[in-house]
Amino acid sequence: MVSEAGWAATEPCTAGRAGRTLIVGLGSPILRDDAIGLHLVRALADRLPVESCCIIEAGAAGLRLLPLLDGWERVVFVDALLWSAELGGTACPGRLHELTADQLHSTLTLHSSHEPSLGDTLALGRQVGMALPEQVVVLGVEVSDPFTFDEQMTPELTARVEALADEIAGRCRLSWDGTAGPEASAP
Amino acid sequence: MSKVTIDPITRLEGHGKIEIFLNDEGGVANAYFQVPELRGFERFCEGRPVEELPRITPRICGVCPDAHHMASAKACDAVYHVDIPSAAKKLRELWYSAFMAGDHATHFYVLGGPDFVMGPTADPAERNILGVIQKVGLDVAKRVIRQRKEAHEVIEMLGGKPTHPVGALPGGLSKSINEEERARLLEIGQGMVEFGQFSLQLFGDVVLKNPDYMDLVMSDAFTHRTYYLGLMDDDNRVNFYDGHVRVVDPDGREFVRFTAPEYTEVIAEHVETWSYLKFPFLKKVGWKGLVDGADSGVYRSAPLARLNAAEGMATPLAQEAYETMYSTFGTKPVHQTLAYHWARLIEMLYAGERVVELAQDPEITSPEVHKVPDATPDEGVGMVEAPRGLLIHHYRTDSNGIVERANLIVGTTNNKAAICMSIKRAAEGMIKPGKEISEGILNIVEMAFRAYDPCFGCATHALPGHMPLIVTVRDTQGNVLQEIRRDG
Repeated sequence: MVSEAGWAATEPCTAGRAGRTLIVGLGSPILRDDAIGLHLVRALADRLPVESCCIIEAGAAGLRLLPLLDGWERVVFVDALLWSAELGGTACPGRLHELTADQLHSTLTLHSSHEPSLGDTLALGRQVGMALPEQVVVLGVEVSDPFTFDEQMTPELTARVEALADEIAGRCRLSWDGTAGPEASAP
Repeated sequence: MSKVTIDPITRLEGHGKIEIFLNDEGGVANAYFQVPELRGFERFCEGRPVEELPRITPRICGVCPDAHHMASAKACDAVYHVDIPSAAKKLRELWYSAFMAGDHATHFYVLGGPDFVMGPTADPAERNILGVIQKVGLDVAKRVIRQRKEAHEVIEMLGGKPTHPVGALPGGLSKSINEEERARLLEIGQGMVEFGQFSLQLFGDVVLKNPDYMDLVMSDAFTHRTYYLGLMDDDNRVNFYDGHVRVVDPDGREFVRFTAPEYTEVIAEHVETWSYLKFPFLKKVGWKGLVDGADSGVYRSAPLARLNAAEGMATPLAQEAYETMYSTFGTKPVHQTLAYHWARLIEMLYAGERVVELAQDPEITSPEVHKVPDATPDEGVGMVEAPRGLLIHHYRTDSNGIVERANLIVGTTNNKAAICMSIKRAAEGMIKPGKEISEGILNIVEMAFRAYDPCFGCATHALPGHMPLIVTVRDTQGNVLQEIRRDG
């Protein structure tokens, strides 16, 4: 079950945060490919055990996210991403990238310029004594059109959701207990 | 003609490209701000039940969903011709005031303030919230985080969710509050008042007492004589949630006032071939281009414009701060663009005081918060003051409430012309014929922008900022003469 950010009372997010992973799907459900993070975390809900993680949807960044992150062991963000030269190669919608902090500027939700950057947000939270996750993973999925109002994603991206969810679930399980998930699929 | 391009702007929501055109002598001829288009919103709305729009429009972007939710709910009230219960109006305004207090705090401490607290010439790596904390202490960070968290607590309590609220319905609100919730709202409001006072004190200490900053604030590079508008109560005092719009001329005289359904009689939208975003202007004055003065229909919106258009603030501490600001400048209206930051903090204090006032209103716990609409829906306009300016939602439906047409004028759009003018003015101060363009242009142009707290997320939607800032200077043949760059 996927809950939206802020529905703190909704199971399974009340099961306790210590030792568990928060998985946050980011994006707008009405801006075509921008919704990929939301679609992926919905697909993850059937693939990952509730006792290990809490899955939420959010459409926000920076200080809006900060209270959500307090107390978790790990956090995984899943966001739409526009290809840029530093990602290498050429644009390939549907390709999954695990991003470093200096690559976040091409993500569409996480890097809001009306909020502090993710790095600054985490530094800020730690400075004031919040128990923020040590392990922060940002998964960006390349998209082609996050700018058109539409509840449907482009067909190419929609076709990739199941395989991408398998890959992300595998990565999550690997980082939790060393158990490899299904083979990562090529785009 | 030479062309200077600055692309894009850091710490600005959305991707913008600045084009500065030079004349043959090497001076600034024109400055334009370009943003990509957000496509098809009206078409997306058409054919949907109008009561869905308060839930759909906040999804346009994550920066000010509450403003869209509220303007949309008010437009739905108007479409259904329903006068919502008094307690619902008060709860909506309380919720909206808490949102404004949180949003304004973010702008001052995270976006606009670092330029002042750290100084406009400080290393960009230090001109951020972490630099501010280094300088003014960790307690401020705790306070900023608390302000945002508690604003979201209010939004969640009244709106159902902290980020994309759903609580306002055509006819009022989906829930009332109990005594325990009222007490918590009061406590949160009191904290917001304290933080508002602290922030104005900080602004006084770091800006007003620093002659270099005040020279910058007062400089011609950051001054425009324009019309101003803002939403007012019946006594012409700033109100974020409801009332009439008052427009004043560059000398501060009332020019016109209008209610929500009358906006099309006062505001027209000018189209330029180089921009997807339209330029709203005052119809009666007319579009004279990107120029200021009483003969130009360009007006400004958002904090400074609201204070300029008003005759005062409705709460005592904010009124005191309002009087201090105008006596410091010695004129009204204040035309200095950087005073937007000061006005924003006065509004932040007002928002906190308003939360306290409304939380103490005897009617606030009334269970009467919704009136079922029973009239045939047709057409309606909803207006609120968003953090970034007047926000208008205008819907027309068929008799079943299915949307036939939707039109939005969003906060930042109101200031589009003024932003272009401010960039030009700032660039003129930095670009002189025969002189190399220095890196300082990046900071000065950015400061001109940030004062307006622009957000193009919903004006157009766009790529996020924090990207490299690049100024390219080209000769008349388009060859690159000089490139100034700062990585984001």
